[in-house]
Amino acid sequence: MRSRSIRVAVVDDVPTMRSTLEDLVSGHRWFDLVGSASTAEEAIELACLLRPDVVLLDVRLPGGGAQAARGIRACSPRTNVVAISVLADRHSVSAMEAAGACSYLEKGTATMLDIVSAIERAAASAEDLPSAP
Amino acid sequence: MLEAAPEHGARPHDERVSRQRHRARAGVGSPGNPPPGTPMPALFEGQLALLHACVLEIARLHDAHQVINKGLDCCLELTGSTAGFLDLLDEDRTHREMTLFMGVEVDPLFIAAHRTIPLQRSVAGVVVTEGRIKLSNQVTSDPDSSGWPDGHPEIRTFLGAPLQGRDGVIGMVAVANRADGYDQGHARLLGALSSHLAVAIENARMYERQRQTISGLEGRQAELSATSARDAINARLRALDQLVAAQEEERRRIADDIHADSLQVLDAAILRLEMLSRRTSDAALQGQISEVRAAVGDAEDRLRHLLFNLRPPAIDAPQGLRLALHDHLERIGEASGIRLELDVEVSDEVPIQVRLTLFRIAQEAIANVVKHAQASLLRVQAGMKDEGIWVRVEDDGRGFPVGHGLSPAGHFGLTEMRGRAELAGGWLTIRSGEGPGTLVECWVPQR
Repeated sequence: MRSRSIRVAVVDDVPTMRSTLEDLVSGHRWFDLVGSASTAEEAIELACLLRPDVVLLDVRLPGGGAQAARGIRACSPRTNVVAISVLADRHSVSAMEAAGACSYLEKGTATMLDIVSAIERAAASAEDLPSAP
Repeated sequence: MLEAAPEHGARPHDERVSRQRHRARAGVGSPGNPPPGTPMPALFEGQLALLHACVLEIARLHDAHQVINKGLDCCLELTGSTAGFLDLLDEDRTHREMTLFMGVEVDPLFIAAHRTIPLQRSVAGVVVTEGRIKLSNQVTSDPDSSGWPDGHPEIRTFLGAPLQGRDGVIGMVAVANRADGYDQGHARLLGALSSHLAVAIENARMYERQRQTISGLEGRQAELSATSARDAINARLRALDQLVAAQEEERRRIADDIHADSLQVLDAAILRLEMLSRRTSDAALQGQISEVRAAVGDAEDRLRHLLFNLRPPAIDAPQGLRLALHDHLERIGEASGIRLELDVEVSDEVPIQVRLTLFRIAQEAIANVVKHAQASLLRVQAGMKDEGIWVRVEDDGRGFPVGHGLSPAGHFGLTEMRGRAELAGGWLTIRSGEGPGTLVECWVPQR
């Protein structure tokens, strides 16, 4: 059982999708929506500032999803990245994993519950990591 | 032995005429040109026949070299001489080019040193400079003589005639060293033949010029046709190439749009419907929401298919051909019920255009199998060969009769694909009907 809410940030450049993900996160009892961004640059800034537990990161971003993931992990190593994409082509998946994402979801097939459990799993593994010095 | 006489007779008219009559009775002509009005000595029938024969032979030739050779030969024969030469003037008409010697041993050094001779007063020179026949039976003491250069063959008796062209003297022909000397009869013969010879030489030159002009024109026309045909083909190929590139670019843009917006929006709608469903415990309402969700899901699926068919996103990666084919077969696989095999070994350096061309060809071939073949196995292979990439798509299904054109009715896609392969510098073949199944094979250079 968690002692506190999971702090989640949402990054997606398509407004309809971003607002849906934001509502999905805020609608969950144990999630705290700490911020949202629509570009890689904004995402990195957000992560550096707020140090969320989990970032839901769209792969197709202005500035690049992989670029964003690397920046987030560099700035806030305890932040775990859940990559989410319209297409789960293997090239994109491996690129995101190489950039530090801990899991990958495909928008077409992933249900609301899939997204929620992915966030929870990501938060749990973050807690297992030793704190950064 | 006739005595030498100066060309310009200084003797009184009467004396000359009487000498001529005397010589005519003796059967020999008088030296030098007779004054106008003097009857010319008669030519013997034999001489006339020979002249006639020579003129005919020369008239049949149109090669300048042959004309000159035959001409000089005839001159020697007609005048009973064993030695002679033929000169043609250079283009400026300031020098004689020593064109041809016959019957004389000439020191090669002499020939080399006197390839051209400036026109000047000399026994031979006056023939050209004054345009008249020169006859001399004692050349060394002739007033026109200016001596011999070293190596010049000895000339004792001499008869020369100008070659009169349309616009003036073009050269001369001369015979020499007849033991009994030359007379007016010989002069007349040589005069007659040299007139014909001049005409023949000019005709031969004109013939040669025209032949060269025609040859040049034909050459240039062939070049032009070849060039313009080549240019036309290249222009068309470039246009086709641009068309294909524009087509692919449009597909990429549309795919990007679908990718960017439409699919995502539908996905967002599906998520929201899920979230909505959780807000109620009303089973009926949940049922309705589920229906809506299914419909939207169906739309999303179709759009996704469209996107992949339009332009597989994986094609952009270095191993794009393999990845795109893999994704494509994956999407087909379950629905079709066909066993699928994929074996692709290509380098990372394949340009995107080539990847796309090969993907489209394979895509079309695969579609045909799925639609018509009733196959149980579909195998797609690709590899590198001869600085290009080959792709094979084969199945074990029905096959179709190939022969009337590339494809039977409704299979025009493969004809188009062959066009694409050839436009890219490659080829495409289909084998079917010789046994079970169909084999589509293509190759495209890597560029």
